[in-house]
Amino acid sequence: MLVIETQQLSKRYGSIRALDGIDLHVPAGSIYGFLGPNGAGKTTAMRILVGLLRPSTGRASVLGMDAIRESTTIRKRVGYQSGDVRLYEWMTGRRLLAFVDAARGGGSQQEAERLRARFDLNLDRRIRDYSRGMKQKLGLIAALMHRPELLILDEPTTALDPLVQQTLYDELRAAADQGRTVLFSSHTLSEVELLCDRVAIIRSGKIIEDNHIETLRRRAVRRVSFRLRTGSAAELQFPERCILQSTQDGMVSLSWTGEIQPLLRWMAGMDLQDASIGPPDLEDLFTAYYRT
Amino acid sequence: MLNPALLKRTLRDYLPIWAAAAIMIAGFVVLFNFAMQAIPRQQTEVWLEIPWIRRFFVALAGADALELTRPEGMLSFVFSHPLVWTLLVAFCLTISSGVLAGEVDRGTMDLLATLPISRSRIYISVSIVTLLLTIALCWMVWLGAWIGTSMTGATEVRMRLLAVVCCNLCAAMVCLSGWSLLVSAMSERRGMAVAVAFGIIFYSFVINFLRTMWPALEPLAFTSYLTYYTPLVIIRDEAWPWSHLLILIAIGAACWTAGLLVLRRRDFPAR
Repeated sequence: MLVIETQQLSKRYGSIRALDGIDLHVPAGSIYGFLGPNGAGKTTAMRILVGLLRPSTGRASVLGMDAIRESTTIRKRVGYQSGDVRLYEWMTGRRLLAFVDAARGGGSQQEAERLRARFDLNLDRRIRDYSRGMKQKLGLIAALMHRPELLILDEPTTALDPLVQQTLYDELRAAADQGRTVLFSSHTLSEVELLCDRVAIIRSGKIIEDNHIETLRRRAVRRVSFRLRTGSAAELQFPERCILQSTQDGMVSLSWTGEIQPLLRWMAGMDLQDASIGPPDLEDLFTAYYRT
Repeated sequence: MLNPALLKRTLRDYLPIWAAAAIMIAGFVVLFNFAMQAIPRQQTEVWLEIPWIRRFFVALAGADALELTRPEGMLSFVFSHPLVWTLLVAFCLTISSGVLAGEVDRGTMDLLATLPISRSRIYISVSIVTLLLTIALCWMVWLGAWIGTSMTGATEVRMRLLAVVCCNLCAAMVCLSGWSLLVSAMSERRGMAVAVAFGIIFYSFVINFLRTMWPALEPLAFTSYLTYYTPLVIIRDEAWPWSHLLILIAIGAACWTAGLLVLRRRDFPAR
Protein backbone atom coordinates (compact mmCIF):
# COMPACT_ATOMS: atom_id res chain seq x y z
CA MET A 1 0.00 0.00 0.00
CA LEU A 2 1.27 3.45 -0.88
CA VAL A 3 1.08 6.08 1.85
CA ILE A 4 2.20 8.90 -0.42
CA GLU A 5 1.55 8.96 -4.12
CA THR A 6 2.09 11.93 -6.38
CA GLN A 7 1.39 12.20 -10.07
CA GLN A 8 3.14 14.82 -12.17
CA LEU A 9 3.24 17.15 -9.19
CA SER A 10 4.48 20.61 -10.14
CA LYS A 11 4.87 23.91 -8.39
CA ARG A 12 5.74 27.19 -10.04
CA TYR A 13 6.56 30.52 -8.46
CA GLY A 14 6.14 32.89 -11.38
CA SER A 15 8.74 31.80 -13.90
CA ILE A 16 10.58 29.61 -11.39
CA ARG A 17 9.72 25.93 -11.53
CA ALA A 18 10.30 24.62 -8.00
CA LEU A 19 8.83 21.19 -8.76
CA ASP A 20 8.64 19.76 -12.22
CA GLY A 21 6.21 16.87 -12.51
CA ILE A 22 7.41 14.54 -9.78
CA ASP A 23 6.00 11.07 -9.24
CA LEU A 24 6.67 9.91 -5.73
CA HIS A 25 5.60 6.53 -4.35
CA VAL A 26 6.19 5.95 -0.65
CA PRO A 27 5.15 2.50 0.60
CA ALA A 28 3.60 2.01 4.06
CA GLY A 29 5.98 1.12 6.88
CA SER A 30 9.07 2.38 5.09
CA ILE A 31 11.65 4.96 5.98
CA TYR A 32 11.92 6.89 2.78
CA GLY A 33 14.81 9.23 2.18
CA PHE A 34 14.37 12.33 0.13
CA LEU A 35 17.77 13.49 -0.99
CA GLY A 36 18.88 16.48 -2.95
CA PRO A 37 20.99 19.59 -2.85
CA ASN A 38 19.66 22.85 -1.41
CA GLY A 39 16.89 24.33 -3.52
CA ALA A 40 16.23 21.04 -5.33
CA GLY A 41 12.52 21.00 -4.36
CA LYS A 42 12.45 18.67 -1.32
CA THR A 43 10.85 21.23 0.98
CA THR A 44 8.34 22.34 -1.66
CA ALA A 45 7.20 18.74 -2.19
CA MET A 46 6.86 18.14 1.55
CA ARG A 47 4.93 21.38 2.06
CA ILE A 48 2.46 20.36 -0.64
CA LEU A 49 1.94 17.02 1.11
CA VAL A 50 1.02 18.70 4.42
CA GLY A 51 -1.19 21.34 2.79
CA LEU A 52 1.02 24.40 3.24
CA LEU A 53 1.33 24.84 -0.53
CA ARG A 54 -1.05 24.15 -3.38
CA PRO A 55 0.43 22.42 -6.42
CA SER A 56 0.35 24.29 -9.72
CA THR A 57 -0.47 21.06 -11.54
CA GLY A 58 -0.61 17.36 -10.75
CA ARG A 59 -2.07 15.34 -7.91
CA ALA A 60 -0.88 14.29 -4.49
CA SER A 61 -2.49 11.65 -2.35
CA VAL A 62 -1.55 11.07 1.29
CA LEU A 63 -2.89 8.07 3.26
CA GLY A 64 -5.26 7.47 0.37
CA MET A 65 -6.75 10.96 0.53
CA ASP A 66 -6.39 14.01 -1.69
CA ALA A 67 -3.67 16.19 -0.20
CA ILE A 68 -5.54 19.42 -0.92
CA ARG A 69 -9.23 18.62 -0.51
CA GLU A 70 -8.82 16.40 2.55
CA SER A 71 -5.86 18.18 4.06
CA THR A 72 -7.37 18.66 7.53
CA THR A 73 -8.25 14.97 7.87
CA ILE A 74 -4.78 14.02 6.65
CA ARG A 75 -3.07 16.28 9.20
CA LYS A 76 -4.75 14.38 12.06
CA ARG A 77 -2.70 11.35 11.02
CA VAL A 78 0.50 13.09 10.00
CA GLY A 79 3.35 14.58 12.01
CA TYR A 80 5.36 17.29 10.28
CA GLN A 81 8.45 19.19 11.17
CA SER A 82 9.67 21.98 8.93
CA GLY A 83 13.33 22.48 8.15
CA ASP A 84 13.54 25.76 10.01
CA VAL A 85 11.76 25.15 13.31
CA ARG A 86 9.95 28.29 14.49
CA LEU A 87 7.86 28.12 17.65
CA TYR A 88 5.99 30.53 19.91
CA GLU A 89 8.98 32.08 21.65
CA TRP A 90 7.04 33.46 24.60
CA MET A 91 5.63 30.06 25.61
CA THR A 92 7.36 27.43 27.70
CA GLY A 93 8.02 24.10 26.03
CA ARG A 94 5.34 22.50 28.20
CA ARG A 95 2.72 25.08 27.24
CA LEU A 96 3.52 24.68 23.57
CA LEU A 97 3.08 20.91 23.75
CA ALA A 98 -0.17 21.34 25.72
CA PHE A 99 -1.45 23.70 23.01
CA VAL A 100 -0.47 21.33 20.19
CA ASP A 101 -2.06 18.42 22.06
CA ALA A 102 -5.29 20.34 22.72
CA ALA A 103 -5.46 21.56 19.12
CA ARG A 104 -5.22 17.92 17.96
CA GLY A 105 -7.98 16.89 20.35
CA GLY A 106 -5.85 15.69 23.28
CA GLY A 107 -4.62 12.31 24.45
CA SER A 108 -0.93 12.55 23.64
CA GLN A 109 0.53 13.99 26.86
CA GLN A 110 1.85 10.62 28.01
CA GLU A 111 3.73 10.04 24.77
CA ALA A 112 4.99 13.63 24.93
CA GLU A 113 6.42 12.94 28.36
CA ARG A 114 8.09 9.75 27.14
CA LEU A 115 9.65 11.63 24.23
CA ARG A 116 10.72 14.47 26.52
CA ALA A 117 12.61 11.95 28.63
CA ARG A 118 14.11 10.31 25.53
CA PHE A 119 15.31 13.63 24.11
CA ASP A 120 16.25 14.93 27.58
CA LEU A 121 14.57 18.31 27.22
CA ASN A 122 13.64 20.79 29.95
CA LEU A 123 10.07 21.86 29.15
CA ASP A 124 9.78 24.49 31.85
CA ARG A 125 11.95 27.09 30.15
CA ARG A 126 10.66 29.68 27.74
CA ILE A 127 11.29 28.75 24.12
CA ARG A 128 13.13 32.04 23.55
CA ASP A 129 15.77 30.75 25.98
CA TYR A 130 16.20 27.46 24.11
CA SER A 131 19.19 26.78 21.88
CA ARG A 132 18.55 25.86 18.24
CA GLY A 133 19.03 22.19 19.03
CA MET A 134 16.53 22.34 21.90
CA LYS A 135 13.96 24.00 19.65
CA GLN A 136 14.55 21.23 17.13
CA LYS A 137 13.97 18.60 19.84
CA LEU A 138 10.76 20.34 20.91
CA GLY A 139 9.58 20.49 17.30
CA LEU A 140 10.27 16.77 16.95
CA ILE A 141 8.33 15.96 20.13
CA ALA A 142 5.40 18.03 18.79
CA ALA A 143 5.56 16.11 15.50
CA LEU A 144 5.87 12.66 17.09
CA MET A 145 3.71 12.93 20.23
CA HIS A 146 0.40 11.86 18.65
CA ARG A 147 2.03 8.74 17.18
CA PRO A 148 1.16 9.68 13.58
CA GLU A 149 0.82 7.09 10.83
CA LEU A 150 3.03 9.22 8.62
CA LEU A 151 5.95 11.40 9.66
CA ILE A 152 7.18 14.05 7.26
CA LEU A 153 10.45 15.47 8.52
CA ASP A 154 12.35 18.15 6.65
CA GLU A 155 16.04 17.89 7.53
CA PRO A 156 15.26 17.04 11.15
CA THR A 157 18.81 16.46 12.35
CA THR A 158 20.53 19.67 11.23
CA ALA A 159 20.88 21.19 14.71
CA LEU A 160 21.03 17.96 16.74
CA ASP A 161 24.15 16.59 18.39
CA PRO A 162 25.19 13.02 17.42
CA LEU A 163 23.67 11.45 20.55
CA VAL A 164 20.28 13.04 19.97
CA GLN A 165 20.51 12.14 16.28
CA GLN A 166 20.94 8.53 17.35
CA THR A 167 17.88 8.79 19.62
CA LEU A 168 15.87 10.18 16.72
CA TYR A 169 17.04 7.38 14.42
CA ASP A 170 15.93 4.83 17.05
CA GLU A 171 12.53 6.51 17.34
CA LEU A 172 12.09 6.52 13.58
CA ARG A 173 13.14 2.87 13.26
CA ALA A 174 10.69 1.97 16.05
CA ALA A 175 7.94 3.87 14.24
CA ALA A 176 8.69 1.98 11.02
CA ASP A 177 8.69 -1.33 12.92
CA GLN A 178 5.18 -0.48 14.11
CA GLY A 179 4.08 -0.07 10.50
CA ARG A 180 4.25 3.70 10.49
CA THR A 181 5.88 5.54 7.58
CA VAL A 182 8.64 8.14 7.60
CA LEU A 183 9.46 10.55 4.79
CA PHE A 184 12.75 12.08 5.68
CA SER A 185 14.60 14.76 3.75
CA SER A 186 18.29 15.33 4.03
CA HIS A 187 21.27 16.40 2.08
CA THR A 188 23.52 14.21 4.22
CA LEU A 189 24.00 10.94 2.47
CA SER A 190 25.38 9.00 5.44
CA GLU A 191 22.17 9.70 7.38
CA VAL A 192 19.94 8.46 4.60
CA GLU A 193 22.15 5.45 4.01
CA LEU A 194 22.04 4.58 7.71
CA LEU A 195 18.31 4.95 8.12
CA CYS A 196 16.34 4.62 4.93
CA ASP A 197 15.00 1.61 3.04
CA ARG A 198 14.40 3.56 -0.09
CA VAL A 199 15.56 6.85 -1.45
CA ALA A 200 14.42 9.39 -4.01
CA ILE A 201 16.93 11.86 -5.36
CA ILE A 202 15.59 15.18 -6.50
CA ARG A 203 17.45 17.74 -8.54
CA SER A 204 16.12 20.97 -10.08
CA GLY A 205 12.57 19.96 -9.20
CA LYS A 206 12.75 16.54 -10.87
CA ILE A 207 13.15 13.08 -9.37
CA ILE A 208 16.20 11.62 -11.04
CA GLU A 209 16.40 8.38 -9.06
CA ASP A 210 13.94 6.45 -6.90
CA ASN A 211 15.21 3.13 -5.67
CA HIS A 212 16.06 0.84 -2.76
CA ILE A 213 19.24 1.70 -0.93
CA GLU A 214 20.49 -1.84 -1.61
CA THR A 215 19.99 -1.45 -5.35
CA LEU A 216 21.86 1.83 -5.29
CA ARG A 217 24.59 0.29 -3.20
CA ARG A 218 25.06 -2.38 -5.88
CA ARG A 219 25.60 0.42 -8.35
CA ALA A 220 27.95 2.26 -6.07
CA VAL A 221 31.66 2.56 -6.52
CA ARG A 222 34.22 0.72 -4.33
CA ARG A 223 37.74 1.96 -3.89
CA VAL A 224 40.10 -0.94 -4.51
CA SER A 225 43.85 -0.97 -4.18
CA PHE A 226 46.38 -3.79 -4.36
CA ARG A 227 50.08 -4.40 -4.70
CA LEU A 228 51.32 -7.14 -7.04
CA ARG A 229 53.96 -9.54 -5.71
CA THR A 230 54.93 -10.56 -9.24
CA GLY A 231 54.20 -9.05 -12.61
CA SER A 232 53.47 -5.48 -13.62
CA ALA A 233 50.31 -3.42 -13.63
CA ALA A 234 50.84 -2.67 -17.29
CA GLU A 235 50.22 -6.33 -18.09
CA LEU A 236 46.88 -6.45 -16.31
CA GLN A 237 43.63 -6.88 -18.24
CA PHE A 238 41.12 -4.61 -16.51
CA PRO A 239 37.47 -5.72 -16.56
CA GLU A 240 34.78 -3.40 -17.86
CA ARG A 241 33.47 -2.40 -14.45
CA CYS A 242 36.70 -0.98 -13.20
CA ILE A 243 38.38 2.32 -13.83
CA LEU A 244 42.07 2.53 -13.19
CA GLN A 245 42.86 5.50 -11.01
CA SER A 246 46.63 5.24 -10.59
CA THR A 247 49.63 2.96 -10.47
CA GLN A 248 52.45 4.10 -8.28
CA ASP A 249 55.36 2.14 -6.85
CA GLY A 250 53.61 -1.11 -7.70
CA MET A 251 50.42 -0.05 -5.94
CA VAL A 252 47.35 -0.16 -8.22
CA SER A 253 44.35 1.98 -7.29
CA LEU A 254 41.05 1.62 -9.07
CA SER A 255 37.34 2.10 -8.66
CA TRP A 256 34.91 -0.77 -9.09
CA THR A 257 31.21 -0.44 -9.82
CA GLY A 258 28.64 -3.13 -9.04
CA GLU A 259 28.67 -6.66 -7.58
CA ILE A 260 31.75 -7.73 -5.66
CA GLN A 261 31.93 -11.38 -6.90
CA PRO A 262 33.46 -10.63 -10.33
CA LEU A 263 36.00 -8.38 -8.61
CA LEU A 264 37.04 -11.15 -6.21
CA ARG A 265 37.29 -13.65 -9.05
CA TRP A 266 39.45 -11.26 -11.04
CA MET A 267 41.73 -10.52 -8.10
CA ALA A 268 42.03 -14.22 -7.24
CA GLY A 269 43.84 -14.69 -10.54
CA MET A 270 46.67 -12.36 -9.50
CA ASP A 271 49.67 -12.89 -7.26
CA LEU A 272 48.98 -10.19 -4.67
CA GLN A 273 51.20 -8.95 -1.91
CA ASP A 274 48.53 -6.77 -0.34
CA ALA A 275 44.97 -5.68 -1.13
CA SER A 276 42.17 -3.56 0.25
CA ILE A 277 38.56 -3.31 -0.92
CA GLY A 278 36.51 -0.44 0.45
CA PRO A 279 32.75 -0.54 1.11
CA PRO A 280 30.38 0.64 -1.61
CA ASP A 281 30.61 4.40 -1.52
CA LEU A 282 27.29 6.02 -2.34
CA GLU A 283 28.82 9.46 -1.95
CA ASP A 284 30.34 9.35 -5.43
CA LEU A 285 27.14 8.04 -6.93
CA PHE A 286 25.09 10.80 -5.36
CA THR A 287 27.62 13.47 -6.19
CA ALA A 288 27.40 12.31 -9.78
CA TYR A 289 23.59 12.53 -9.64
CA TYR A 290 23.77 16.04 -8.21
CA ARG A 291 26.20 17.20 -10.87
CA THR A 292 24.83 15.62 -14.05
CA MET B 1 -16.47 26.12 13.56
CA LEU B 2 -14.14 27.16 16.37
CA ASN B 3 -11.09 25.46 17.75
CA PRO B 4 -11.20 25.85 21.56
CA ALA B 5 -7.42 25.42 21.95
CA LEU B 6 -6.66 28.13 19.41
CA LEU B 7 -9.36 30.37 20.82
CA LYS B 8 -7.92 29.99 24.31
CA ARG B 9 -4.34 30.51 23.16
CA THR B 10 -5.16 33.66 21.16
CA LEU B 11 -7.19 35.07 24.04
CA ARG B 12 -4.39 34.34 26.48
CA ASP B 13 -1.78 35.92 24.20
CA TYR B 14 -3.65 39.19 23.72
CA LEU B 15 -5.46 39.58 27.04
CA PRO B 16 -2.57 41.39 28.78
CA ILE B 17 -2.36 44.02 26.00
CA TRP B 18 -6.13 44.34 26.04
CA ALA B 19 -6.17 44.83 29.81
CA ALA B 20 -3.50 47.54 29.58
CA ALA B 21 -5.38 49.35 26.80
CA ALA B 22 -8.70 48.97 28.64
CA ILE B 23 -7.31 50.50 31.84
CA MET B 24 -5.75 53.38 29.90
CA ILE B 25 -8.95 54.12 27.95
CA ALA B 26 -11.34 53.85 30.90
CA GLY B 27 -8.94 55.80 33.12
CA PHE B 28 -8.55 58.56 30.55
CA VAL B 29 -12.32 58.87 30.07
CA VAL B 30 -12.87 59.12 33.84
CA LEU B 31 -10.28 61.91 33.99
CA PHE B 32 -11.91 63.55 30.96
CA ASN B 33 -15.18 63.67 32.92
CA PHE B 34 -13.48 65.51 35.75
CA ALA B 35 -11.84 67.89 33.28
CA MET B 36 -15.21 68.63 31.68
CA GLN B 37 -16.56 69.54 35.08
CA ALA B 38 -13.60 71.76 35.86
CA ILE B 39 -13.46 73.66 32.56
CA PRO B 40 -16.31 76.15 32.08
CA ARG B 41 -18.50 75.54 29.03
CA GLN B 42 -17.66 79.02 27.70
CA GLN B 43 -13.97 78.15 27.70
CA THR B 44 -14.59 75.03 25.60
CA GLU B 45 -16.64 77.07 23.15
CA VAL B 46 -13.75 79.52 22.78
CA TRP B 47 -11.46 76.63 21.85
CA LEU B 48 -13.98 75.27 19.40
CA GLU B 49 -14.15 78.69 17.69
CA ILE B 50 -10.55 78.12 16.53
CA PRO B 51 -11.09 76.99 12.91
CA TRP B 52 -8.62 74.09 12.73
CA ILE B 53 -9.75 72.63 16.06
CA ARG B 54 -13.35 72.92 14.90
CA ARG B 55 -12.55 71.19 11.60
CA PHE B 56 -10.58 68.52 13.39
CA PHE B 57 -13.59 67.68 15.55
CA VAL B 58 -15.97 67.77 12.59
CA ALA B 59 -13.63 65.29 10.85
CA LEU B 60 -13.60 63.00 13.88
CA ALA B 61 -17.13 63.39 15.25
CA GLY B 62 -19.14 63.99 12.10
CA ALA B 63 -20.84 67.29 13.09
CA ASP B 64 -20.11 70.76 14.37
CA ALA B 65 -19.72 70.62 18.14
CA LEU B 66 -20.93 74.21 18.53
CA GLU B 67 -24.40 73.10 17.43
CA LEU B 68 -24.68 71.11 20.64
CA THR B 69 -25.65 72.31 24.03
CA ARG B 70 -26.56 68.98 25.60
CA PRO B 71 -24.35 67.56 28.36
CA GLU B 72 -23.83 64.36 26.31
CA GLY B 73 -22.39 66.50 23.51
CA MET B 74 -19.26 67.42 25.40
CA LEU B 75 -18.85 63.91 26.78
CA SER B 76 -19.24 62.37 23.33
CA PHE B 77 -15.89 64.01 22.46
CA VAL B 78 -14.16 61.14 24.21
CA PHE B 79 -15.55 58.82 21.55
CA SER B 80 -13.58 60.83 19.00
CA HIS B 81 -10.64 61.84 21.14
CA PRO B 82 -7.29 61.22 19.36
CA LEU B 83 -5.84 59.41 22.38
CA VAL B 84 -8.82 57.04 22.63
CA TRP B 85 -8.73 56.43 18.88
CA THR B 86 -5.00 55.86 18.90
CA LEU B 87 -5.34 53.21 21.61
CA LEU B 88 -8.30 51.54 19.89
CA VAL B 89 -6.69 51.54 16.46
CA ALA B 90 -3.31 50.41 17.84
CA PHE B 91 -4.93 47.49 19.64
CA CYS B 92 -7.07 46.54 16.65
CA LEU B 93 -4.08 46.59 14.27
CA THR B 94 -1.81 44.77 16.77
CA ILE B 95 -4.17 41.85 17.22
CA SER B 96 -5.46 41.55 13.66
CA SER B 97 -1.97 41.70 12.15
CA GLY B 98 -0.53 39.42 14.84
CA VAL B 99 -3.00 36.57 14.49
CA LEU B 100 -2.32 35.90 10.79
CA ALA B 101 0.49 37.94 9.19
CA GLY B 102 2.41 37.74 12.49
CA GLU B 103 2.23 33.93 12.39
CA VAL B 104 3.61 33.89 8.85
CA ASP B 105 6.23 36.52 9.65
CA ARG B 106 7.70 34.69 12.63
CA GLY B 107 7.39 31.31 10.92
CA THR B 108 4.94 29.78 13.40
CA MET B 109 2.29 29.37 10.68
CA ASP B 110 4.17 26.18 9.71
CA LEU B 111 3.18 24.69 13.05
CA LEU B 112 -0.32 26.15 13.20
CA ALA B 113 -1.31 25.35 9.62
CA THR B 114 -0.09 21.74 9.89
CA LEU B 115 -2.22 21.00 12.94
CA PRO B 116 -5.52 19.32 12.11
CA ILE B 117 -7.42 22.60 12.14
CA SER B 118 -8.86 23.75 8.84
CA ARG B 119 -7.78 27.17 7.66
CA SER B 120 -11.38 28.35 7.94
CA ARG B 121 -11.44 27.34 11.60
CA ILE B 122 -8.11 29.07 12.21
CA TYR B 123 -9.46 32.25 10.61
CA ILE B 124 -12.81 32.14 12.40
CA SER B 125 -11.24 31.37 15.79
CA VAL B 126 -8.71 34.22 15.65
CA SER B 127 -11.29 36.59 14.16
CA ILE B 128 -13.73 35.91 17.00
CA VAL B 129 -11.06 36.83 19.54
CA THR B 130 -10.05 39.91 17.53
CA LEU B 131 -13.63 41.14 17.25
CA LEU B 132 -14.63 40.35 20.83
CA LEU B 133 -11.61 42.06 22.35
CA THR B 134 -11.87 45.09 20.05
CA ILE B 135 -15.59 45.52 20.77
CA ALA B 136 -15.00 45.05 24.49
CA LEU B 137 -12.32 47.74 24.31
CA CYS B 138 -14.80 50.13 22.64
CA TRP B 139 -17.17 49.59 25.55
CA MET B 140 -14.40 50.68 27.92
CA VAL B 141 -15.00 54.22 26.63
CA TRP B 142 -18.65 53.98 27.67
CA LEU B 143 -17.70 52.32 30.97
CA GLY B 144 -15.21 55.13 31.70
CA ALA B 145 -17.91 57.69 30.90
CA TRP B 146 -20.36 55.92 33.22
CA ILE B 147 -17.82 55.69 36.06
CA GLY B 148 -16.82 59.32 35.47
CA THR B 149 -20.37 60.68 35.47
CA SER B 150 -21.18 58.64 38.58
CA MET B 151 -18.14 60.01 40.36
CA THR B 152 -18.70 63.62 39.30
CA GLY B 153 -22.45 63.46 39.91
CA ALA B 154 -23.28 64.50 36.33
CA THR B 155 -26.64 62.72 36.48
CA GLU B 156 -28.08 64.71 33.57
CA VAL B 157 -25.92 62.73 31.11
CA ARG B 158 -28.04 60.06 29.43
CA MET B 159 -25.85 56.98 29.27
CA ARG B 160 -28.32 55.29 26.90
CA LEU B 161 -27.59 57.92 24.27
CA LEU B 162 -23.87 57.42 24.76
CA ALA B 163 -24.46 53.68 24.35
CA VAL B 164 -25.79 54.39 20.84
CA VAL B 165 -22.61 56.37 20.14
CA CYS B 166 -20.63 53.42 21.46
CA CYS B 167 -22.46 51.08 19.06
CA ASN B 168 -21.41 53.37 16.21
CA LEU B 169 -17.82 53.18 17.50
CA CYS B 170 -18.07 49.37 17.66
CA ALA B 171 -19.34 49.26 14.07
CA ALA B 172 -16.43 51.47 12.95
CA MET B 173 -13.99 49.13 14.69
CA VAL B 174 -15.69 46.04 13.21
CA CYS B 175 -15.16 47.64 9.81
CA LEU B 176 -11.51 48.33 10.61
CA SER B 177 -11.00 44.81 12.04
CA GLY B 178 -12.49 43.22 8.91
CA TRP B 179 -10.22 45.29 6.71
CA SER B 180 -7.12 44.57 8.80
CA LEU B 181 -7.88 40.83 8.93
CA LEU B 182 -8.13 40.82 5.12
CA VAL B 183 -4.77 42.60 4.82
CA SER B 184 -3.28 40.30 7.46
CA ALA B 185 -4.53 37.18 5.63
CA MET B 186 -2.82 38.39 2.45
CA SER B 187 0.49 39.46 3.97
CA GLU B 188 3.81 37.77 4.56
CA ARG B 189 5.10 40.52 6.85
CA ARG B 190 3.38 41.88 9.91
CA GLY B 191 4.84 45.37 9.46
CA MET B 192 3.46 45.53 5.94
CA ALA B 193 0.03 44.40 7.16
CA VAL B 194 -0.03 47.14 9.80
CA ALA B 195 1.14 49.77 7.29
CA VAL B 196 -1.49 48.85 4.68
CA ALA B 197 -4.27 48.61 7.28
CA PHE B 198 -3.24 51.95 8.75
CA GLY B 199 -3.28 53.44 5.26
CA ILE B 200 -7.07 53.21 5.11
CA ILE B 201 -7.42 54.97 8.47
CA PHE B 202 -5.10 57.71 7.33
CA TYR B 203 -6.93 58.05 4.02
CA SER B 204 -10.31 58.23 5.78
CA PHE B 205 -9.12 60.87 8.21
CA VAL B 206 -7.50 62.98 5.46
CA ILE B 207 -10.66 62.88 3.32
CA ASN B 208 -12.85 63.74 6.29
CA PHE B 209 -10.57 66.57 7.40
CA LEU B 210 -9.95 68.10 3.97
CA ARG B 211 -13.58 68.00 2.84
CA THR B 212 -14.48 70.42 5.63
CA MET B 213 -12.22 72.97 3.90
CA TRP B 214 -12.43 71.81 0.30
CA PRO B 215 -15.95 70.92 -0.84
CA ALA B 216 -14.59 69.47 -4.10
CA LEU B 217 -13.68 66.38 -2.06
CA GLU B 218 -17.28 65.84 -0.97
CA PRO B 219 -17.97 63.22 -3.72
CA LEU B 220 -15.18 61.10 -2.20
CA ALA B 221 -16.70 61.25 1.28
CA PHE B 222 -18.48 57.92 0.84
CA THR B 223 -15.09 56.19 0.47
CA SER B 224 -14.03 57.24 3.95
CA TYR B 225 -15.28 54.95 6.66
CA LEU B 226 -15.20 57.85 9.15
CA THR B 227 -18.08 59.38 7.18
CA TYR B 228 -20.24 56.70 8.79
CA TYR B 229 -18.98 57.42 12.28
CA THR B 230 -20.97 60.37 13.60
CA PRO B 231 -21.17 60.60 17.41
CA LEU B 232 -22.27 64.24 17.48
CA VAL B 233 -25.03 63.61 14.94
CA ILE B 234 -26.34 60.80 17.14
CA ILE B 235 -26.40 63.12 20.16
CA ARG B 236 -27.99 65.94 18.15
CA ASP B 237 -30.70 63.81 16.51
CA GLU B 238 -31.11 61.35 19.39
CA ALA B 239 -31.55 58.56 16.86
CA TRP B 240 -29.92 55.26 15.94
CA PRO B 241 -27.71 55.71 12.84
CA TRP B 242 -29.04 52.49 11.28
CA SER B 243 -27.76 53.14 7.77
CA HIS B 244 -24.28 54.00 9.03
CA LEU B 245 -24.18 50.94 11.27
CA LEU B 246 -25.24 48.72 8.39
CA ILE B 247 -22.71 50.20 5.98
CA LEU B 248 -19.82 49.82 8.45
CA ILE B 249 -20.76 46.28 9.41
CA ALA B 250 -21.34 45.31 5.76
CA ILE B 251 -17.89 46.63 4.74
CA GLY B 252 -16.34 44.82 7.70
CA ALA B 253 -18.17 41.59 6.84
CA ALA B 254 -17.21 41.81 3.16
CA CYS B 255 -13.53 42.36 4.01
CA TRP B 256 -13.67 39.57 6.61
CA THR B 257 -15.17 37.13 4.08
CA ALA B 258 -12.56 38.11 1.49
CA GLY B 259 -9.86 37.45 4.12
CA LEU B 260 -11.32 33.99 4.77
CA LEU B 261 -11.26 33.14 1.05
CA VAL B 262 -7.68 34.42 0.71
CA LEU B 263 -6.42 32.44 3.70
CA ARG B 264 -8.10 29.24 2.52
CA ARG B 265 -6.37 29.38 -0.84
CA ARG B 266 -3.02 31.00 -0.16
CA ASP B 267 0.39 29.34 -0.06
CA PHE B 268 2.76 29.34 2.87
CA PRO B 269 6.18 28.95 1.24
CA ALA B 270 9.28 28.15 3.31
CA ARG B 271 10.93 31.21 4.80
